[in-house]
Amino acid sequence: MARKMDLRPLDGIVPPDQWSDIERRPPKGISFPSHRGRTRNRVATVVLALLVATAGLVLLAIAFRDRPSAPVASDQPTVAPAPPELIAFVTSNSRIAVVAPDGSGERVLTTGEEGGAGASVGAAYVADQSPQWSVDGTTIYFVRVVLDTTWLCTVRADGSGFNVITRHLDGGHIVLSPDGSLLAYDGNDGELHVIRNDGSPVDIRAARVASSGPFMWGPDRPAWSPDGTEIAFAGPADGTGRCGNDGCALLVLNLETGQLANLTEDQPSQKVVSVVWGPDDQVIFSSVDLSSADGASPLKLWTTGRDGSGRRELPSDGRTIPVTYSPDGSALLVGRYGPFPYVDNRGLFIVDGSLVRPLVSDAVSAFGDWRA
Amino acid sequence: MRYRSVTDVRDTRLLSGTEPMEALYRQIGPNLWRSLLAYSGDREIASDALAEAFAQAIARGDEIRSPEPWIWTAAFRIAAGELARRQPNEVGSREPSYELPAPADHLVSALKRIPGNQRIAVVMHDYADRPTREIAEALEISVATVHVHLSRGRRRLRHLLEESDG
Repeated sequence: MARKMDLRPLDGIVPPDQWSDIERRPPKGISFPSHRGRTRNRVATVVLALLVATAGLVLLAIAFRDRPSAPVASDQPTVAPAPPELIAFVTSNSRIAVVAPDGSGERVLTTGEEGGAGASVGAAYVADQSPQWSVDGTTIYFVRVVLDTTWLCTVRADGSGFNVITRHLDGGHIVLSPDGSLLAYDGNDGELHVIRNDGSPVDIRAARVASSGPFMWGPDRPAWSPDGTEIAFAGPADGTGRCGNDGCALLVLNLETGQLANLTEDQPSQKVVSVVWGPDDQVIFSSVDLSSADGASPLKLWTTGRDGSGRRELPSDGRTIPVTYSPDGSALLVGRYGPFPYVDNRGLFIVDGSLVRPLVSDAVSAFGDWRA
Repeated sequence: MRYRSVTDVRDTRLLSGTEPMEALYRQIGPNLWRSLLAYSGDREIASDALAEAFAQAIARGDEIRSPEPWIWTAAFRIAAGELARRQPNEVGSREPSYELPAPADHLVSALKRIPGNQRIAVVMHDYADRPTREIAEALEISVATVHVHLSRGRRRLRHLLEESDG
């Protein structure tokens, strides 16, 4: 581990005592319960929050149901999908797990000890993330962060057969190509990378993913088009600037021509996060408005065509990001956060034509992949 | 620098109302404020981010299982949001609202010259001793990327400090 910087001169700064201000301060957008009637107010706040959350998610469900290319929604409650469907996700303590779409059969597949990771640096410094199903549905690809290195690993759906493809991925979020032969990921060098699924290199025209802006939200996960010819991702609008202070655009890279298109050029203050490409060829993504006057901008949800046409905002609860589609495109897995500043993971939900239902609460809201 | 676990405070049944949070404020507030000042270079942003993070934590009550990491993460996100919202010429060009001790002033000036994510990583890790997973959550990036920011930030900061010393 590299030597720490000596920042002890900061100890010489005398901070103000703010406690009396904090006690009197109403937080932005959140009511502050008084001591008198605290219980009643808390109950009222919880009820109100539940109503708001329910309304937001119902709006999201309605919006999703009304998408022109989505299958016609049923008025009846959704029947649980067939048993083979399984969703891979990341638990709140950063382990890979699976669960059926009806919430049954939850099972944690990794411990952090596999491959000698936990023994070498301590399990607390091992974090698994970004699960992706292989095309045949037998194996999960994922990224294992081991202190300051990142491994590309696989594990079978039953938790057996842990395998390390490379201990030098040097990137965080992977996405498999539709045919399963390639992996795209955001490199720690700020470039978009593509490799074969065995870890060997592929020559593509690189594109900037993100740089060192101070206002980073959500995963820097790229998204493959269903035909495998393009990759959508959130990146700096000018291709070289910072993805943060200067906004963050929805970019689409054509893998055959190397052409890079900015689909949100007219929205420079929006920071795009969590891009997902649906099987119906619609791109769905979230964004936050960096120009918001009070700094507490809600997470907006958008859908657009692959060429930027038909972009429109979908109603949402302001705290939801898309994660992945169901294999047939009839449902969307979404992650929810607590209110601004969006620190709290509230888990994964499934939105389909008729309802929104919680899937797992003990989950990192940003990750998930749905096996056919 | 290691802090006592916040659960020690929250599990104390004798404390009630905002007392646990005041105890937490007394415990982490000074270092959090210095860290926010070192990151933002602005006393007003540091104070506002700290107060807002505590106010939101108080409003959430028992909903937050581990207030200490929550408050660190929230405070840095709020400060980063405020920095992003302000025009570039608003930050760092203000007249200092009060004098910093010379060694600290020297350090804060150098920190202002490294990119935001590198600055957060160096300050949270090397000064406040926060775990890299928490920094990753604050920045919404992977732990591996935090290490990259740490490495680059330290190198750049050392260079800047040597340059100004020379």
